[in-house]
Amino acid sequence: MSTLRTVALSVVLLGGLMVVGAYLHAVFDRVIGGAVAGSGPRVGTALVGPLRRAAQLMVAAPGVTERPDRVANAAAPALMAGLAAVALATVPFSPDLIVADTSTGFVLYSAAVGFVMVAVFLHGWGPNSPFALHGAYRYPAQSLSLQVPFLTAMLATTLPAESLQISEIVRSQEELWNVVRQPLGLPIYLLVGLGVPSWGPLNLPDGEDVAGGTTAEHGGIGLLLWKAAEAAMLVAVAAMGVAAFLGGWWGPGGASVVWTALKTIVLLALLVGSRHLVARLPLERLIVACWVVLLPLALINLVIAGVWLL
Amino acid sequence: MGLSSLLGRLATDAPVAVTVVAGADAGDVAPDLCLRPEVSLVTGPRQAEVLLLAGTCTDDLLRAALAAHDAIPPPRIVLAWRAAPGDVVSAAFPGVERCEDEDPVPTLRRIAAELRTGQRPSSPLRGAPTARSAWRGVGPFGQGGRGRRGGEPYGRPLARRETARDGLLIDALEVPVGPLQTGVPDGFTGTITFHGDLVARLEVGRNPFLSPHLTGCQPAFLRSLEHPVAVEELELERARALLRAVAWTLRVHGLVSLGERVLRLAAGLRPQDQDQVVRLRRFVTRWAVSGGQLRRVGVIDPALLAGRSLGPLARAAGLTEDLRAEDPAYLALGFELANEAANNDAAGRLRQRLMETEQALQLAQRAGPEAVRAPGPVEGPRGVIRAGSAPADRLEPLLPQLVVGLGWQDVAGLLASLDLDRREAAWVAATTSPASGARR
Repeated sequence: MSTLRTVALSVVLLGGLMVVGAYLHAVFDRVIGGAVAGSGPRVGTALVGPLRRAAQLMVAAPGVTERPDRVANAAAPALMAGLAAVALATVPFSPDLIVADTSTGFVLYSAAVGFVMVAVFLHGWGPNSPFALHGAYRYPAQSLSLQVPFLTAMLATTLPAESLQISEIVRSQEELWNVVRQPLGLPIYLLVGLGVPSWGPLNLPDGEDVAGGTTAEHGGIGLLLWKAAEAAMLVAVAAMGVAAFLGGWWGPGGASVVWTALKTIVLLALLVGSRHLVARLPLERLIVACWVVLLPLALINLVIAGVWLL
Repeated sequence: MGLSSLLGRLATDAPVAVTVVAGADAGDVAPDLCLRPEVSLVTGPRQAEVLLLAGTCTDDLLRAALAAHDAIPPPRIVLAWRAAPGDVVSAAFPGVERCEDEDPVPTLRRIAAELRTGQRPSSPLRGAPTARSAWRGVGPFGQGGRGRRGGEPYGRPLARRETARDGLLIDALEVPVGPLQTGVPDGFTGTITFHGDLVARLEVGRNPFLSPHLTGCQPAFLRSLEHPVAVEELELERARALLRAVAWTLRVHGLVSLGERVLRLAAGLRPQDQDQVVRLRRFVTRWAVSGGQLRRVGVIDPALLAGRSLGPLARAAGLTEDLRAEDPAYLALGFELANEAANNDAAGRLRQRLMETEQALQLAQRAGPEAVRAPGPVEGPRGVIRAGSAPADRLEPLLPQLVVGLGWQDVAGLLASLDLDRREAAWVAATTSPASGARR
């Protein structure tokens, strides 16, 4: 019975986190977007706007394309949401609030990040439309290149903890946060972390240049679920960034879930805001930057982390 | 309150999701709607609920409008704004809502609210030319030929085999582009043949805006071909057009909100706004696209551009072509050619346009309301406009050779940096040779 209760609690917690995270994501997007667009302060609209748009998509019919792959269309948002849930489950929010505190948390998180490729590809494949598929083909090239520096940067944080368990990584930062110990880590992590749910400067699969890419042919509830799942994935990236580099639950006055929440919100705002301030990167240059610049930097970061231990 | 009624209420208050088909004489409607919080201009018809047909709708535009209409998931509705009565629109969309007001937004909101609450029926499918057709195999009864063995899957021919640049066989994939596609200039039509992810061929289609009966206010530059026009008006119009081109480039590269800011600046532009343009240029070049997003994108051989009078495009390539340098009205204002950028790529063009915007505002301020330019060929925001020859007409023949061998992302970057304006070309055609509306 208690197992059932734990499972139910975990599902409610993760579901709530994803919904609240996706909502916050949309609010930040509107507030920062409005500030950049110079349309004046519209905080009220920013708070209600996402709900209105969500309701509008919920009542609208999804578009029907010619000969779509219905299974892929349905599976893509579900898979993305599931992966975001898995990624969030590995994040420790406080010493006792961790859904999946496995000894291999890092591996589980990496697997969730890796499988996003399947979800994005299915999402672009489903509508059976040239530009949606074109967008889908961009993602594997993008994600293969950026996962390596992304995870190498994060791998360095397991060295001081001497464990792949994320909660141990947070515990190892009681004295000194990893962002100080490994100064290259967080910038690399965030830079390429944007590309995991393809957001902002790394939103290549859904770019305006491919007429909206993988989302071009989606509408209605399917589009809403996809956007929400992608937003939840970005929340997971931000939350894991906090756990791995910014000391997780540690803060003045001891360990608290409040610190995790505050830091995650700041990081999320930073990630979301990048969409309005930096133009989209060309795919080819991104791939070159990942392999030629970011990967060597991530390896140097790994060496620094190792030397620090000696 | 039940969940569904709460959803319904929330959805009723949402901004109206609009997709726009604007004729040559309604070219400003989309940038204007971008600035209205009550309206959201969506990327594609799948996310829209209202199809706004603005201005003169030609047969080509109508075909695109029909396809866009059928792609909008129901409930959908069509609003024809300032479309000439007896227009093709009424025949194509029976029961279309019409609006002749100065501002289409109140009508848009009203019909969207009626649509959302079910007081107004959804516009039925119109049978777009791209409607699905059955599989047609190779046999006489349409049988056989599945997979790679030939036939016509759902009305689409299978990919042909062609020899790629490396001499190997490759599937040639033909993809139609435009005229209502985010990411390519409005009204740009054509067929792109891909070899893998690289463009092997581009066939430019005809201008869908061409129509002998354009109505509405003639753009200032067109008027100045035959009438004296104040330099201040021309230069403000130039600054506005250049800023819109910048906003469009920013939008294509993902900076939608920044693009909106630029459009807002353009909408209320005054000669005193030079500081804002300078700040914008610094922010854009030093921060927003400073990661090399546009560097070496869309490089054009200056020899190709020489003698085509393509305005900022030519000046960014280091050419010194500007009709204003020979115009006494401009020389009296101390006009000097601005082409110090001389960086012949998309980044250079963006910078050149922002610099020319500053220059245009300076000229407008110096000119005041008195200075008037004599009629004749004029240096427009995209190059020289002459009777029967618009910049787009001289630029389009270059396109097929410019895009070959590029990936699609670079093609989109190149197209955005060219500021190809087919509406202007349609105006030039309609103004200077009334019978030329049907020519290619």
